[in-house]
Amino acid sequence: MRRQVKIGGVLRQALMLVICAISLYPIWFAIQTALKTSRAYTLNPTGFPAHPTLQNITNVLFHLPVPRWALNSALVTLGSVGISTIFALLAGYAIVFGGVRGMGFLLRVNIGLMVVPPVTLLVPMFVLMVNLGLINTLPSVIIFYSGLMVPFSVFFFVNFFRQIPGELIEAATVDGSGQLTTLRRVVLPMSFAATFTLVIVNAIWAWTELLIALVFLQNEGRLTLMAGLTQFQGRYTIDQPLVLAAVLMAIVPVVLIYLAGQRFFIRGLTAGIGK
Amino acid sequence: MSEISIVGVRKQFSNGSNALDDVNLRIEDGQFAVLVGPSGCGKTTLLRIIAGLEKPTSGVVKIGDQDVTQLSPGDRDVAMVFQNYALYPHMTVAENIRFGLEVRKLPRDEITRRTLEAAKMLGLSDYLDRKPKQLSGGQRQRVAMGRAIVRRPLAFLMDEPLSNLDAQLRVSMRAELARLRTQMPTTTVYVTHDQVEAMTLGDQVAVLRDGVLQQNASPEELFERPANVFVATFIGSPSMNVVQATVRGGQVRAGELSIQLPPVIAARVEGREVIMGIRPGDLLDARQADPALPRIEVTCDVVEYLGTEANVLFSLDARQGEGGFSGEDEDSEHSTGRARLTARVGRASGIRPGDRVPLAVDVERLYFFDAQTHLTIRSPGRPALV
Amino acid sequence: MNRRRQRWRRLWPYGFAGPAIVAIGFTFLYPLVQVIRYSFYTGSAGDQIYVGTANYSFVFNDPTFRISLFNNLKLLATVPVMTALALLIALMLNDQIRGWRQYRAIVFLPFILPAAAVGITFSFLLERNGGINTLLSDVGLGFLAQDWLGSPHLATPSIGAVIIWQQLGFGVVVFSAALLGLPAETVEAAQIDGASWWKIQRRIVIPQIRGIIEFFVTLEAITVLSQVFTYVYVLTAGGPADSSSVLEYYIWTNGFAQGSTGIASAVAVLMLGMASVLIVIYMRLHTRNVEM
Repeated sequence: MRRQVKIGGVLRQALMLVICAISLYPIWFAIQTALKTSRAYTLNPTGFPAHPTLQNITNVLFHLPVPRWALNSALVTLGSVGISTIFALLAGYAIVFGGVRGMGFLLRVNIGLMVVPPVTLLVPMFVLMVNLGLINTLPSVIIFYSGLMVPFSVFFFVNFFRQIPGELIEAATVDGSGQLTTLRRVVLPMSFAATFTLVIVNAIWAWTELLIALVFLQNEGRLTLMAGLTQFQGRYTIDQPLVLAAVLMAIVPVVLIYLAGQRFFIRGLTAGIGK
Repeated sequence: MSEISIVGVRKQFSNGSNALDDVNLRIEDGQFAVLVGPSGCGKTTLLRIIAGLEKPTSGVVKIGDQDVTQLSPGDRDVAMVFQNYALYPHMTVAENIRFGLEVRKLPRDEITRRTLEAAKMLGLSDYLDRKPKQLSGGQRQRVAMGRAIVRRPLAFLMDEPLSNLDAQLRVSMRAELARLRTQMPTTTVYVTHDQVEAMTLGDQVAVLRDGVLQQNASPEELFERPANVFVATFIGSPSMNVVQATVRGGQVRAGELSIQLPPVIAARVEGREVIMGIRPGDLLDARQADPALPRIEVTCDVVEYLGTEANVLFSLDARQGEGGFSGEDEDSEHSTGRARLTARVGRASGIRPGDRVPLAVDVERLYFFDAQTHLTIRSPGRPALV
Repeated sequence: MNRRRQRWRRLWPYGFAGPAIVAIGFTFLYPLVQVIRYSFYTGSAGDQIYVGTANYSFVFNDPTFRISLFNNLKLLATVPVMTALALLIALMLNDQIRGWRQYRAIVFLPFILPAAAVGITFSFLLERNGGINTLLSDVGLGFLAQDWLGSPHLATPSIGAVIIWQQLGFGVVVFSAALLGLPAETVEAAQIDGASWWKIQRRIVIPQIRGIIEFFVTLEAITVLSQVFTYVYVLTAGGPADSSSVLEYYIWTNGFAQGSTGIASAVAVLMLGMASVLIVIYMRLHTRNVEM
């Protein structure tokens, strides 16, 4: 019996190690390839970099438009996450603490919209942006991203606010606090961790989005990092190390944030499931 | 002046049932008014309507001379203490107390002065930098009080503020509340389901049942001259005994029981179907009572020994009086077909379950209620029981 | 002034919800109405001609559309695979084997990476002379080497594999969280009754997280049907010869590469129709959860 448990344990550890190896190998592959010359890669795509070089990384950082794209991505991410978070914070507060007609309906619509495929909205939004003269500018992407993030963000705040006792808001109201003051001084300080979680989740989404960026942005100088990467892939098909060095640029910020705030990630990204 | 008037207040829930039905209530300036009643009677709803947290379906709420019915809570200048205290978890004790003054934009030094003063009054001076999490239940309760006191409002509204404390702490906080009152004679509306709290704290006590105000009077008046069966049985512990009875020829009969009434009382109820009430303390151990009093003999079912005295529970072959308060189990009395009664006797009586117990009835202190309306039967021109 | 303040006191929730409502109207409701309208027109913005259902009949007769739709349905098969795998891993981790937190963190890592970056990396791994084939021949399994992305019958399964690789960790984390929330007593009671590990999982544990599994399956089905553009674009660009196109890719090529908004809109409407079934299920699951 005891022996059986032990074998089961070893088997599980072995299985988990294999799964982890599969999960990590592509990332390792990108890292090691980025450190190789194109020639070394062609000779042995999977070998350990015998003579590591930073050439690809410095190329990406200093001679190619990658930093420019990263900056664009950062601007788009910051702008859209900022707008959607503020909108959702206000709406979530109103839905949970407003106590007026129509808020339940708004929430139901909102939950449905969370899973509407963005691609189905793309054509009209493109036409609209053309008509507004915003196409091929970062604001066009920021506006669309912000709107797309609103439903999940509202849903997220509603779930969180429902855990705050209503008496806290009533106490502030009786004390003569206006709604904005209550939101700012009572609710927001209590929601710091939740807000941070949401910001991370939305930031990841904005940082990684490709289709909309690809359609809305055309000038090379205005691309987001994801759109830029795909161009890069097309242009340097035979220089895999260079492309993967650029890929690392897209991965590193995300991984760093992940390592710093793993629990926020896990909590936030599972929020659409269940409660 | 900050008396509170509630005129014709009705609150209807969306399902059509009435939470409050035409409640009229006046609380004089500086009075400590208690709203009491079983859970679901509408007392908290009424308090929230006074606070402005809920709007009445119809009716008017006045504070001082001002009609505040349409005003939002923040404009009514009232302070509220919540059942769960509603302390802001991210703020320190001092910040919690200050908050109400800060949002009203009082001068900074005034805020600090008042905060320290309130903290001192409540013995919180050493805890000002703590967060609510680091406080005991009693201390949190004090912070909630402090938050109200510091505001110096027109009125305090308290929603079962002691119900989250354990029994011992509740008694000491009750005493403290009474002490604070002598220092701050502000009009107060206090909601509780605990009739002892109501009787000990209130200048006036309003008893509510199913959204209808039953009686609003001083504690003494409520106890001595309840308006109806419900108030009679709700106020006082143990509850008043009530049985269905008829009065014929100066005798009141309830099942096997028959008691000769003094002529003055008999005249008031002669020939009527009544509910007869008697408080457990007015059923006396016959061996120690005035021999002139009428006697009954009952069989003891249960003895509840309380230290200085004991409750003797027994049943009678009579119908339980209708319309009384019966705690949570609304229909348990009706199931046996016998009325259950309690007598409070001295601890030295030595009564055991199964004993035949002779009891003397203090006939002067019998209560009579109309069997249909459940209202106290008063003699014309004379208050009941005088 | 006072009157306005009184009005705000009553109506502030609408004011607070206003920006979000406007954003939702602008990003969702307006385009959803427009896309249906566009699907009956042809031509580009500004000069549009009503064509009735011509766009739809074109689409239904277009073999590429059928291939794309079929590929989406093929990709749906990844959902049961990743659900079963994720559940198995979550159940193993739930016994709190040594290092389970670290394992969970590592398995989750792929999920947060940009799909474009993942796709590009895999495009090199799956090339004819890429990493996977090299690894295979390194360990003497060279005969298994394939042109993973270049052959029509392998391209879509390869895309599916990459999707599973990236989405698996999400399932693991979701199921782990649900399992952690279960009371230990039920399992302990079953252990005392002498039930085997697998029996306990199947009869006691899994039924208790059924709701969460349904959620995950619905969400992933929506994802696989309608949010896999990035993978296809960077891994195969729909190739070879449209063989790995999906509906999104079809919309993109028609609507933007070729500029026929009418056809793109018609496909978008069809996709909405399919997705709405799943969306309704998703909303039902939400209301049910709220009531529970």
